Amino acid sequence: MGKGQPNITNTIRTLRFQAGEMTQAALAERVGVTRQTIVAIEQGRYSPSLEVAFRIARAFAVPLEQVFQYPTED
Amino acid sequence: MTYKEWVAAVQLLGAVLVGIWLVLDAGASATLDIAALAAKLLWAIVAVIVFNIVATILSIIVGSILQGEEIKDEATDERDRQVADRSMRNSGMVQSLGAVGGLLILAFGGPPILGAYALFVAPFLGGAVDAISRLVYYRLG
Repeated sequence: MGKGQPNITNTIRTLRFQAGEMTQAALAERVGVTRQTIVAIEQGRYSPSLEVAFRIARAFAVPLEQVFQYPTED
Repeated sequence: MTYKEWVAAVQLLGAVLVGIWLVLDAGASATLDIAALAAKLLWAIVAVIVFNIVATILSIIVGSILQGEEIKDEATDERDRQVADRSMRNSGMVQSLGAVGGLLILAFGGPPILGAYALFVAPFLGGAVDAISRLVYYRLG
């Protein structure tokens, strides 16, 4: 959100699919945020705090870099 | 729409209705003295508070029926707080400008009745901006 926001991408949709079609609501409950926030993160409309980012990674039992990607500047 | 978006939409509707009422009532209020006008505007504030409470409850019920599922308020998380902070910042700026406008009217010898209107309108404009900001930030990020 906000000016100069880096274009952070994520693989949450894929990770949810691989986790047996985990619903957004289920992920939201595990992470401790609202379903709308998960939707916004998944669609790239909101960049979560580091804490929430780590909680999402923990929910899928994967490293943070596997959930969020930050493209290199060229 | 989520619960928080419904509440923002109702808040916006309330502000729009106040705006319409102000325009329609302008003629009738033009002859009032400042004390009578201030009392009238205070009653209008009470009416808006009651409207917001009733309209929020009714809209949640109607919205739940239309969406086919109960609209529940969820616990506030970091995104809600960020949206609230940014909306409040926008609202605060508009309210401050409205208050300054009211003071400028009085400072330059304008009719006190306009100063009273400015004091009344500024928070409603701020409320409208807050509601619009919430709706936009929740939808667009």
